[in-house]
Amino acid sequence: MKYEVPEINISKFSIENIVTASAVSVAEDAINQAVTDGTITGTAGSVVFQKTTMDEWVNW
Amino acid sequence: MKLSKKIISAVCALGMIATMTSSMLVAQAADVPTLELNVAWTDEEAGTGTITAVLTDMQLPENTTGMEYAHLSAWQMFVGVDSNVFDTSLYSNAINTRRNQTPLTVSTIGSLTRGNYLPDTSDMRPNWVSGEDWVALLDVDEKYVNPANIGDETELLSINFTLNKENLPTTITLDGVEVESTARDGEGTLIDTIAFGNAAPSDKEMNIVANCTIPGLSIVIPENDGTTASDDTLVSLSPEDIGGEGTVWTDDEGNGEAAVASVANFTSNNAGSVTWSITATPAEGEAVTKSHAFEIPAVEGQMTLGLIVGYDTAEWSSVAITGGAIE
Repeated sequence: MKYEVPEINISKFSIENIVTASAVSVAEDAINQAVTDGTITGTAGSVVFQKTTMDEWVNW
Repeated sequence: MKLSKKIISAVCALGMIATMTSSMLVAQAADVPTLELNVAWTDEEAGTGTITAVLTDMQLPENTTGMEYAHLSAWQMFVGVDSNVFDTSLYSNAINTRRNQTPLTVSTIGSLTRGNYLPDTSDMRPNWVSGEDWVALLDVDEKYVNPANIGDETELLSINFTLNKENLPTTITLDGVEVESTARDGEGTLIDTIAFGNAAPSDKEMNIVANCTIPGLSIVIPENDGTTASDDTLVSLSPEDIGGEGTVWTDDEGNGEAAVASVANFTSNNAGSVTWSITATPAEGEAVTKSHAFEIPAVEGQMTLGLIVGYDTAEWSSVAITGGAIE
C-alpha cells in the first residue's frame, strides 16, 4: 500500500505572518506587565487592545 | 514617546509630581522640632530638582534674657544620595569648605544654594565628602532668625540636582542631624543654647523625616473626558519607555518584524467601536494615513484602549498610530 505525502501550503506559514504575530504578542505582554508593575499608570483597569498588521492595513 | 509624557512618581509623594517628601517618620512627637527632607522637581522634563531640608517647630533656649536675636545653626547634617543618580555637571567648585577642608570628591551631587542664609560673609560653608557610592553632605550653616519666628518653617539647606534617570530608583537619606538654637545678645555673645537631633552632642529629641525614595520612571496615561485621543492624550509606547530596549518591539527571532503600540483613555457612553488612524511610510514611497474601526466592549465611563501594529521593517520605514476615536 502506498502512502501519499500530504501537500503543505507553505504560504500559510510564511515567516512574515508568524513573526509579525510574535512581535505584536511581545508588545502586548510587555505593556500588560508594565501596567501590573506600576510602570504604566493612569489606566482604567486593564488595557483593551486591538491588534493588527500592516498587511491588514493595506487592505482597509 | 515624548519625555513630557513621562513622570517620575514617588513612593513618598505629596501630590503626583510637584513635591516628594519623606516616607519614614522617626520619633513622632507633638512638641519637638521636625527636620524634613523634601525633593521637588524644578523641571520634570529635564530631570532637575531640589532637595531641601526644612525645619519646623524649633524651640528657643530657655534662657533668653537680654536676647536680641536667635541664632539657628544646622550642622552635622548628612544627606546621602546615590552618586550614580545625580548628574555631576551642576557641582560648583566655588563652594568653600569649612576650615579649608578639601572635598574628597568634587562632583556627584549638584550645586548647593545657600539661599538667604546669613551671614553671607561667614567662612562657614558646606563641606562635601564622599563615600564609595554615596555622597554625604556635612553641612555647617547658620541662620539668624527673629526669635518670634524661630518656630516657623525654616529651610536649612537646598541642593540642586539633575537626575540620571537610568539609575532610578534611588533613596535619599538624611542622617546624623543636629540643629542648634542659640540665644545671643546684641553684641553676639552667647547667652544660652539648645541642640536637637540624633547626632552628638544633641541632647533633645527631634523628629527626623528621612529616607525619601524616588522610584523608577512611570508613564501616566492622561485622563481624557472626551471620545477622541491624539497628541497629548495619546501615549505612544516603546520598549525603552517601560524598562526594555529599543524604540519598537521586535520578534524573538530577530527576523526584521516589529510592532508599535499606543494607549489612550477615552470616556465612553457605551461606545461600540474605536477608529484608529495609522500613518505609515513604505520603504519606497510617500507616507499614507488610513483609519479603521475596531469593535470594542461597551463601557460606561473611562476606558483604556490600545492598538498594536505589527509590520515588516523591510517594507515599512515608519509606522505611527496618530489618533483614535470611539463612537
